[in-house]
Amino acid sequence: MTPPVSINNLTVSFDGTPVLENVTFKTRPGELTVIVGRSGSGKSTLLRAVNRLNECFPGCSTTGEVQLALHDGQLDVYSATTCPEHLRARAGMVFQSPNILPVSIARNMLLPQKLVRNVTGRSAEEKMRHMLERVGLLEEVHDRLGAPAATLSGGQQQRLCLARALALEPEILLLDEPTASVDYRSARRIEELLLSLKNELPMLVVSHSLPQTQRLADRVLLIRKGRLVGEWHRGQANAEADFEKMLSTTF
Amino acid sequence: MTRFHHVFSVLCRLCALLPGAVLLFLVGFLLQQSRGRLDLQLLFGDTPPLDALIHFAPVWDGIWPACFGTFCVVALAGIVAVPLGILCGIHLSEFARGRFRTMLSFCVDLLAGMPSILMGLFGFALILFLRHTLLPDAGTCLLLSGFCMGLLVLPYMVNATYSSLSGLPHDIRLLGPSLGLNRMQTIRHILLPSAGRGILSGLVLSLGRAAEDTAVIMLTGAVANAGMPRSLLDKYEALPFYIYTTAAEYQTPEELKAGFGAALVLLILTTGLFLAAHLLHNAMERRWRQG
Repeated sequence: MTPPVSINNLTVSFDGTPVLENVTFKTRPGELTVIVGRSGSGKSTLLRAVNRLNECFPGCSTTGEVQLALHDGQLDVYSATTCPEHLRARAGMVFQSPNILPVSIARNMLLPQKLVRNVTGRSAEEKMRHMLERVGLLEEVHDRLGAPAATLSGGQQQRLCLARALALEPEILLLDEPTASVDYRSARRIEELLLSLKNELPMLVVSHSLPQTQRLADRVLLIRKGRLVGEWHRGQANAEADFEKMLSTTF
Repeated sequence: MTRFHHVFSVLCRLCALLPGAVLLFLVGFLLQQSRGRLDLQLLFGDTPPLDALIHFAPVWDGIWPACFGTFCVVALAGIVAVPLGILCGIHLSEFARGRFRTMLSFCVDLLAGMPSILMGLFGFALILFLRHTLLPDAGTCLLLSGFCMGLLVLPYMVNATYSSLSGLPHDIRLLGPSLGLNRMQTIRHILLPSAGRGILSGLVLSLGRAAEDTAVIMLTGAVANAGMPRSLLDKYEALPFYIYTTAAEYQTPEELKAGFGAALVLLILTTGLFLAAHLLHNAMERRWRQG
C-alpha cells in the first residue's frame, strides 16, 4: 500500500541554521500519526515542510524529498513543477491558535471556497452547513452565521478553522497542536472528530499532550533537536511499555 | 502607586486632552473672528447660491470658486497619490527585499521630508521644461497643482500602507497560503482589508495635507480672482491661497473677517473629506466582512 506521506532525508534550515536534519519516515493509510517532542524541537517545521509553508518564512532552505499519495497519484512536494498553492489547497492545515479571518462566521467558510475551489452560491452554503455540522458547530451557530467569528469561544473558533479546512476537501490534513489553546471539553470534541476522520483522511498531528497522544496516535514520531529519534506503533510488541518509555523522555 | 507613576499618568492625561483643547480653541477663535461674515454671502457673494451651484454662474465676491478649486486639487492629488501610494506600499512590504527595499524606503522618507516649496518649484520647472520641449502652450494650471500635490502627499500613503501591512501579525500572513490562496489573493482578500484602518489614516493625513498646503499651489496655478476653473488646464482659486493673500493684503476689517471665515470653511471642508474617507472605509470593510 502506498504510504500517504513519505519523507526521505528531509533537512530544513533557516538562515543556514538547520532546524530539521535528515528526517525520514513513512505513514500508513488509515493511521493517525502524531509527532511529539519538546518545544523548539522542530515539530511544526516538519509539519510545515509537508505543505511547503516554511517557504513563507525568510531564509528557509529545504533539501530532501517529501512524497504525498493523492487521489490522482504521487505528488513530489519539492519538485520544480509542483505549484505550492495547489499543494496547500490539497493539504489542509489547522494551526495551534485559531486562525480566523476577522469577518463573519459564514464568510470564514465561504471566502476560501470561492477563492480556492471556485465554489459559490448554494453549493458553497450547503458545504458550509455540512462541515459545520461535521465539527459539531452548526447547532451552536446556525442562527448567527452573519456574526463576527471573533465572538465565538476559542474552542468554537478552532472547530470553525477545522470546518473551513475540511470544506476545501483536502486530501491530507496537517494539524499543529490543534487543541493547545482550547478548553478540555472542546479538546475532546476535536479529538473525537479527528478519530472519526482518520479512515477517510490521512492526518499528521503535532501534539504536546501525553494523554492526547495516547488517545489519538496509531503511530508516534519523536523529534528531538531536529532529528527523528524514536518511532512507536500501536500494533508493535510491548506497545504500552515502549510508549511509556519513549514518551517519558519527552514530556 | 508611586509619586512618579501618579505624575506620569496625570501628564499623559493632560497630553491626551491637549489636541482636543487646541481644536476647540482654534474653532472658537475662528468663529469669534469671523462673526458676522459667516453667511451665504461669504460663499457666493451677490450671486444666487443655486445659480452658482447648478448653472456655474460666476461668483465674484465669494469664496465658492476657492472651495471648488481646493476640492479639485485634493481630488486630483488623491487620484495620483492613493493608487500609487498603496501599490508602492504593497511592493515595499510584500515584494521588495534586502538592499533594494532599504534604498526604496530611504527615497520615500526623503520625499516625505521635502519642503512643499521645493515641490512647487519642481512643478514650475516641469512646466518650463514642457514649454521648451513638447508643449509650447503649457502653463501652470489645476492639473499641474493636483499632480504636484499628489507627489507631495505620496509618501504618507506609501508609509501608511507599508507600516500597516508589515505590522500585521504573522498568523494572518500565514492564513492565506495555508488555505491555498496565491500571493495576490492573500494580499487582495486578507492582508489589505486587515490593514485597512492604517491605510485610511494615511489617506486622511494625505487629504488634510493636500487641502491645506499653499506653497505648492502658489507656484503651480492658483491665482486670486480666477473664478471657477473651466477645465483642468485652467488657473483656479484655492482656499489656502485665498487665506494667505487675505491675511497679507487685507484692506478692511471686513476682508480680514472673510479670511477667518474662509479658514473655518477650509476646516469644515477637510472634516467633510475625512468623514467621506471614513464612510468609504466603513462601507468597504462591511462589504469585506459580510461578503
